[in-house]
This record gives sequence, structure tokens and C-alpha cells, in this order.
Amino acid sequence: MIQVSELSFSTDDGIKVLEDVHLHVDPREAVYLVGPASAGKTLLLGLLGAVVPPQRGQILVHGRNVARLSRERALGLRRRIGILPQAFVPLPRTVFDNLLFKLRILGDDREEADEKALLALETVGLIRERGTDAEDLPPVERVRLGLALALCNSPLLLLLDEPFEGLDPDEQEAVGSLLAKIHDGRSTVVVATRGPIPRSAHVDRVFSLRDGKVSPA
Amino acid sequence: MSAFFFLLRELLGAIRVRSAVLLSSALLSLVLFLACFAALFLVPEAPTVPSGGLGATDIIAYVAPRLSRDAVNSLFLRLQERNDVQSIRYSLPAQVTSERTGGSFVLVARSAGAVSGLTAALRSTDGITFVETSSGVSGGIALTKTTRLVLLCGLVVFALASLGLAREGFRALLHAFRHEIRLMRLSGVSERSILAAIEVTGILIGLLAGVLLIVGLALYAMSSPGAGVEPVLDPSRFVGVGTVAVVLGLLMGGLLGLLGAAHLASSRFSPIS
Repeated sequence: MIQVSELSFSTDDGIKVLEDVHLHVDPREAVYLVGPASAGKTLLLGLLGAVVPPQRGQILVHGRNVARLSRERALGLRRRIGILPQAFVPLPRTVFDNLLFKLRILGDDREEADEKALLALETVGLIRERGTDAEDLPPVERVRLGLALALCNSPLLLLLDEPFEGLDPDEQEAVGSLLAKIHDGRSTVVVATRGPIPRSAHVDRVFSLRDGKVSPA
Repeated sequence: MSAFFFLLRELLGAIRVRSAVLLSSALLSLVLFLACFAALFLVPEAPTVPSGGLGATDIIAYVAPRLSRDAVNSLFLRLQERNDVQSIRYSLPAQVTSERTGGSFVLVARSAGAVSGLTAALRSTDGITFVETSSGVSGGIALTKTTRLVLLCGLVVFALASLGLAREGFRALLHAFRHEIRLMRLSGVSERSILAAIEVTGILIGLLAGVLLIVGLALYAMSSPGAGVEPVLDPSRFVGVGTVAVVLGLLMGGLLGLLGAAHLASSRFSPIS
């Protein structure tokens, strides 16, 4: 599913953020990347999601080399990856309309979008809040909405950036449990977190990201 | 509804008070720019007097070229019957210095006191473009050198104003739409779709400006006959003015859209921080 080798990335100022990173994630695996703030977790997820173009090294996602993809193919790949960005901010509209917006701009007609949006909201447990203004949601519900947005178009890979950030321990356990339910051995999930990982989360492997290098934890 | 029209609807729906005010001001500036352009390049020049100065009771009334021979005859007879007209003769177009007038009536008022009343009556007569007395040309869009210079300045000022206002208007609009743009980029929506929606918004503004100019000119001419816009509204000229206004509006609108799209390079719209 994901094969990263000899991946390096530097900022414009020449600061090395990632250095000779090697990572392998099997299909349907749930992998956690744990590292301190500014360790490069967000950057690594951006590179895996074809949002940030790589500088050096090779990234294979679904057997495709991200560095060599044309713009159109990179967009095609990105459509098959669900991303929950760090500190996710919902659109200033209702919960349901957040999902409709994404599905409609990706080309679904109204009926199809309605169906997928309801299914995603049901999966994350937000069906009753579908008419609520998304900006009024508490932090844990925002994470649920972010997850619904990431998975509403049935992606093959989920990249989740700090889904437990800003949540109290109970809420972290609730989100961990939700991630285990979403994963359920069907999709590949990569979660970046500062830790700790909630006990309720399903974890196949944990990697540590420190000083620009990835190593098994 | 295709994804593009959905996106365009959502983008237009994100217009708030600030962006609405700025984009409306850009639209108004664009209409004024087009008006200056139309006046500068499509209105005939003010006629020049072939002979020396006019006497105190002399009046020259220039006839619109759209008038038929019968209409000119009828107008001649109507003027001849006026009590304040001592004499009148029609001068053929070839005898007039300006090639663009349809000839002229050379009148002599009964007295110097009757000149102002007669001049006012002539100015409000349909088919008379300019009226000239010993005190100068009046009653039409007289494109003297000064007028041309003012119009040229207006052209530049309104073009710059519309570009500046549209730039700020699009900045405000895209700021209100920033979360949607981030989500689109994160979801793999083609950058061209986002650019196209902004570009089409700019073109719509330009098209609206062109149409507003045409409607405005037509309404003005209908509500104030003899106001001086008749030369522009001759059928052949009207088509010219309309076409140029719409084409120029579309071009300027496209430019406004490009200025708006340039904001997308800002890191505010980056899908990940």
C-alpha cells in the first residue's frame, strides 16, 4: 500500500525536516506515527497524500510513484485518499452541508451525495447533528465531522493528523474507539499523533518520528 | 447541475457585504470606463465652423446623419414657420467641414434677444446634434481637445479603479471562501476548476458592465431627446457601441478574474499548515 524509501525533505531555509525516511505500510493496516511537535509528522502525511511534492526519495502509494505522477494523476490519487488535517476547521455551514459540498464538487449528483453523506454521518455518530451549524460543534464532534469528510467518498487510505489534539482523555478514548470501528480491517489508516495513543484505538504498528527519522517504536 | 456550476453558485453565495460593496464599485468603475471609451472613440468630433465668426443673430444647427431627406425637409419647414426665425437655409453635408454631420441649417434669428430661446428649442429638437452660436458650440457631445483629454484621463482612472477595486473585492470574497478552497485542494479538486470559477465571476462582472452601458445609453436617449447622444445611437453606431462595450467589458472582466485568481497563491489557502 505505502512504500517510502530514502525520503528527505528540507525547508527553503535548508533545515532538514525529514532525512532518509524508510516506511512500509501494508494494506488494511492501522499505523500510528508518534513524535513531538514540529517533528515533521504533518509534512510526512502531506507527502503521502500527494499534497506536498517530494524533493528526494521515493513514495509509492497504491503502487504509484507520487514524485512522478502528472498533475492530473496526482489529483486522481488524492481523491482516493481521505485526509483529516491538523486542527480541522469545518466549513461555515451545517454538518450535512459540509459533506454535501465535498461530494458535489467531486462530481456526485444531489441524490448520490445525500446518500453518501448520510452514511458517513451514521458511521461517525453525527446523524442527529446533521442540521447543526458545524462551527458550533464541540471539539470532539468537530473531529467526528472531519473523519466523516475524510471517509465520505470511500477512500482506500486514511491519513489522520492529530485527531486527539485538544480533547480530554474520555473524548480521546471515544475517538480512538471510533477509529477502530472505521478501520475494522478494511481500510489502511495512518495516524500522526504526539501521543499517547488511546487504549481503545486499534493499532497494528507504531513508528516513532524523531530528528527527521522514522523508526519502529 | 455539474460540479463546476455548483462551485460557481457556492462561490457567488460566499459574497458578503464587504466583497459585494467592492465588486459593485468595480462594476460601476467598469461602466464608467466603457462610457469614456465609447465617448472617446465612437462619438463624432464637434463640428468646426467653415467661415469666420458668427454674427449675434446667426445660428448653425447641425443635422443628425440618420435623418431621411423627408425628415430634413419637414424639420426645415417647421423651423421656417417659427416667429423667432428671420431666415433659414439648408447647407449640404459636403459644404460642412465635419464629414460626420448630415448637413446643417443656417438660421438668422429675428433679434439678438430671440437667440437664446431659439437655441434652446433647437437643442431639444430630435435630429439636431449640435447648435452653434456666436458664443460657441452647445447641445451635443462636443469632443474638443480638452474633452478628449478629460475622457482619456477618465479612461485610465476608471480602468485602474476597476482593477484595484476588483482585486480587493476578490480578496474579500476568497477570504470568506478560504475553508472551501482548502477542502477542495485537500480533496483533489483540479486547480483549474477553482480558477475557472473565479475567472467566470470576473467575466460576468465585465458582461454586466457592457450591458449596463448599452441600457443606460438607450434609456438616456429615450428620456432626454436632443441630449446629444443621438450620434451614438444611430442604428449603425449603436451596434458598434454595443459590440465594443460588451467585448471590452468581457476582456476587462477576464482581467479582473485573473487578478482575483492571483490571490490563490497565498498560503492562506494551503490545505495543510
